Amino acid sequence: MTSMKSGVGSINRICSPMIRGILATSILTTGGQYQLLNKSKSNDPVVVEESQLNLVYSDAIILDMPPEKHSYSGSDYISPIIIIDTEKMKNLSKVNRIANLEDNWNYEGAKAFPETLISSIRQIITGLMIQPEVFPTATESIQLEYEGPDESYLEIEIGETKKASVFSIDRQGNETSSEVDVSIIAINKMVEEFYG
Amino acid sequence: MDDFFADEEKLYRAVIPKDMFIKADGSVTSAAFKVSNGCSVDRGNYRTDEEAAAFMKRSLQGSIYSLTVKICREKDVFVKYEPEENNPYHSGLYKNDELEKMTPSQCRHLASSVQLVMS
Repeated sequence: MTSMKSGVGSINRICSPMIRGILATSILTTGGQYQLLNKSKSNDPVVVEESQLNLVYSDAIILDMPPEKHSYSGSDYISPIIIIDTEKMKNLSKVNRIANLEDNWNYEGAKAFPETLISSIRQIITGLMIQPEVFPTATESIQLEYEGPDESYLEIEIGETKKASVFSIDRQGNETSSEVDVSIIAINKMVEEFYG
Repeated sequence: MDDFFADEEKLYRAVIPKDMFIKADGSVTSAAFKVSNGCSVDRGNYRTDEEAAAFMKRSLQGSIYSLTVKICREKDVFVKYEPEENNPYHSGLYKNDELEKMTPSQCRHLASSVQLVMS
């Protein structure tokens, strides 16, 4: 979490390298839940559980604002303005659902996902600059998928080993299989190359 | 029924849980075909889609998708008839006749080709 003192002007500098889905929000405490107010699109609050908020915080950038810039709602407010990637939140929520799958979840004997894998996937998703679509497989792995605008395709299947299986199709329809280290840096680099 | 599959015979796959494998564009992910051994399907044996899906729904939750044997053979997917005590239509999809699990390329091809029969 990065703390900054320079207010709204810093948002642009932070947002510029971020690729998409970045929202400035204000956060309001309401007992065990929190409201995230989307300031860039609407003022409709999104209520999240505290456990989910922790995931948000892990990826949030806190901007300390001067008191006159604080956001108010009723009588309660707190000061930080945070930056949230809504696609990331959606994926972290999906990982939580995957983590809740029990043995034989597909009626074909698939096993529940080990917590070590779930934890690893949470960290990877939190660190990815471009968010994938996330799916479980019945081979105790989790698949990250990217679709390019030109029929190209990138699939990264992550299990409990140090290498992830990669399958890709380029814009000419050529298929390639390879491996990549299960690390945020390596996967970000691969995704960046995929989108050119 | 015997071990022979004609190209035009339909196969049915139950995608469970149904909301877990649907992509943002509404298509099915290849992850729905990734299993540690044979990928279970029911062969159509020339039943209607409704009859085949209703039979599967007796014991399975999820959405039912169909594809043809021809689609499998386009990527050399091996279709094996594997009847079970309570399911005479049960069959398996494999990478080859050595019954290895399908490749990502094969799974992608099948996922790209299926049609929704019953959600």
